[in-house]
Amino acid sequence: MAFSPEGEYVRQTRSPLRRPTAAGWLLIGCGLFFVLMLLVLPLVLIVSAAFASGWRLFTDNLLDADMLAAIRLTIWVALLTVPMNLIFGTAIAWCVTRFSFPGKKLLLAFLDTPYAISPVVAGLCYLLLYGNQGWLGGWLDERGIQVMFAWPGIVLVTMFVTSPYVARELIPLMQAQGSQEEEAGVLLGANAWTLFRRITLPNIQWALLYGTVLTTARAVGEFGSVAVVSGSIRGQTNTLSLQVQLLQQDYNSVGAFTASLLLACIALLTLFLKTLLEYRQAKNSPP
Amino acid sequence: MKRSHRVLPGFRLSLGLSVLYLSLIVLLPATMLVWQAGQVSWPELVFYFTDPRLLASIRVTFFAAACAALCNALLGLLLAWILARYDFPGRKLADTLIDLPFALPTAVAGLTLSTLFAQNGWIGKLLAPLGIEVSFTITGIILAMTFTSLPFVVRSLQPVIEDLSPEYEEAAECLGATRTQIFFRVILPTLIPALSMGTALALVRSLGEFGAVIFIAGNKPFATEVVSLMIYTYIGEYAYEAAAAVAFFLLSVSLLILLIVQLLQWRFRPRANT
Amino acid sequence: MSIEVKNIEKQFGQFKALDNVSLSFPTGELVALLGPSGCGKTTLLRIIAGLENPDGGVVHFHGEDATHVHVRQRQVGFVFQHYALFRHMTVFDNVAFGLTVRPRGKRPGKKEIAERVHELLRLVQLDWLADRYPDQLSGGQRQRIALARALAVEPKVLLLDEPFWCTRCQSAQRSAPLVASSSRRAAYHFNFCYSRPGRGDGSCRPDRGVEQRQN
Repeated sequence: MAFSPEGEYVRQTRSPLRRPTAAGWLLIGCGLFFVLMLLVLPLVLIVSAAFASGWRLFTDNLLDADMLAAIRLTIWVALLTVPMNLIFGTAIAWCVTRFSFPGKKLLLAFLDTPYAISPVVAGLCYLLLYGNQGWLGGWLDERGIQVMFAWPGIVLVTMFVTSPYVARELIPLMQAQGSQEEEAGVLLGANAWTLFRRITLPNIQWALLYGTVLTTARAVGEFGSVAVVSGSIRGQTNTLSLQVQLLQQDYNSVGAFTASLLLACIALLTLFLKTLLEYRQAKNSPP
Repeated sequence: MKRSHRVLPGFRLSLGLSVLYLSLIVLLPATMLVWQAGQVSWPELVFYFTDPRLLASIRVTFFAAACAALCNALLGLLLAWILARYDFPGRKLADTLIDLPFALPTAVAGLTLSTLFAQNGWIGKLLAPLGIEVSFTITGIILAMTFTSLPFVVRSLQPVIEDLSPEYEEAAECLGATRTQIFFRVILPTLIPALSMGTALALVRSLGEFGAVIFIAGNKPFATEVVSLMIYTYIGEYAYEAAAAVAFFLLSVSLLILLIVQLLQWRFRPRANT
Repeated sequence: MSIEVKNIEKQFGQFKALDNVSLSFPTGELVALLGPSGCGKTTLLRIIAGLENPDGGVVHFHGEDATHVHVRQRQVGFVFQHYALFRHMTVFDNVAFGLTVRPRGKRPGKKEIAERVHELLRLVQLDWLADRYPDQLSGGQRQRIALARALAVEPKVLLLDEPFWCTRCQSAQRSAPLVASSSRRAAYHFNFCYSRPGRGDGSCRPDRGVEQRQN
């Protein structure tokens, strides 16, 4: 039950949060126990393990040449992947939510395939295509272009695994908003670019940003598929995620957790931005 | 095409871009896998799929993924329920942290969980006297899979529980139903579509999980190897045909699970807008 | 069964919904609660039903204090403003729900339940919809199903929250006399809760109107 300031009885579609009963507290206790064990403790462990042998060892590991190379490569991959994904995601969301055409369902089904594909399998797909015996690999090899076991391969698989992210954020929102505002814009004489910039973009900006954040997080942290195509050449084709594994195999626990800490910071930043953006989104769109 | 003239601009551009990107980035490589798998002859296929090591890994993967999906269904229901229903200190923080498994790279998750649950780890130390070993056993695989797919069930249930008007429970209460009856006969049935969808997504994700699992599994042949690791091993041995065949098998199972759940969704709502 | 409410108080945060309300309804009377929106009609009905606890005051059913009796034991039929039909159940299962949740000893047999449900569905003239789902019904049909569901458990008191808010649905208006006759025959209490006074077409005129004023 809720009343508007005027005292009017307002029917709520969202069920209101309740003050927990005794049974409620028990459930909350169980739930929070799992949250603590599975989600909070790991984060605490990462920080504690990275600094386990003091600040010096942490900075030594952080400024190690291989580590810096891994950081550089990871940023490079994200810088190439995210904008491509952003353009693709916006394009597919626009054509799927604003037009009806034969084959739309099929297009959406294909969009979701990366969700169903194991990262290792994704890497294998690219290896088969761009590897030495692959359809494109041989042709490119003759021209001296190497895709596999080099950064282009890493970028391509990262684009593969992150391809649905932006689109899946935008489509439900744009579907809910409908196309009336854009149609009104056309009637008032706006051209395509003005229409997009002045009417569509303000409505989807937070979702777009959220999609970007998600894509970045996944692009930075992708492991399985990158492990297949990168060849893990130290200092050259090692991303930060792969560096974690390499250092762990070297029994360099501090190093592995240092790399983990960097990645965990990005993850926490992602969560923070997500919460912030959802809040802005909720404020932006009328109920 | 129904209309030759569309009101809104950008149809051809956006469709063209989408189709091009999807074809190059998703479809072409996926087709390559199917094609490569199609090259494998029957005797070879029989040879690959009678390898006891591969069969053991398939058993381990499916068993662990099923357990993880079940854990996720229960834990997800609990977490979604308390987050959507109750007001308690730390709710916002817990709500935010639920997405951590998606944001945290799988390698980091695997490394951290294996350290945490190792014999001398923070939690492992407490479990060891009870005779429970987690790291380097199948329990560890289940744990890693549960962790990486935790948000699926919670996030698909949460909006449904929030939308569930309190009037439904009140109506049932007026008709004389007890709390248990209300839960099992009014609330749970309305949650089933979302619950099954979330569980299926968690299952599919668990079947293919690699990064988190290999850190904690110990990867002992015949005991704690998962299918995706087998594929990875085949790739390392340049046995691309075997890798493609197993990958195709894994992909088919994943797609089949998603298809079944999609069909069930339609069965759950045969009453949509007639 | 007579109902008596004495000195009922209810506050939502800063807003005082009910301030010292006392009313009594003798057995078998049809009473409509009237008043401007937000004056606490729904809240009063919810307190009588036991869905809300009053901050002060008592509710008497047939002379006995029922203030702390659980909703389940009050034997009150309540038709919600938006009906609250269970989406995942057919019309039949919705109406049968109250009977099937009874403890094993008091639960009627399957055949008996089916008979009872069909009898009620015939009463609201919707027998032919038994296998449909709530989503497939019109507003007026849903309302009549909600009424049948509330009547299935043979309540001692029947409360209807804004039963005719959906004035555009002709079927809802047609159901008004139906509600009146069925509840009169059963000598139930019948509480309208009008959002605006003066609506209604006479066929279901209450015996008495009680006006609540905004405080």
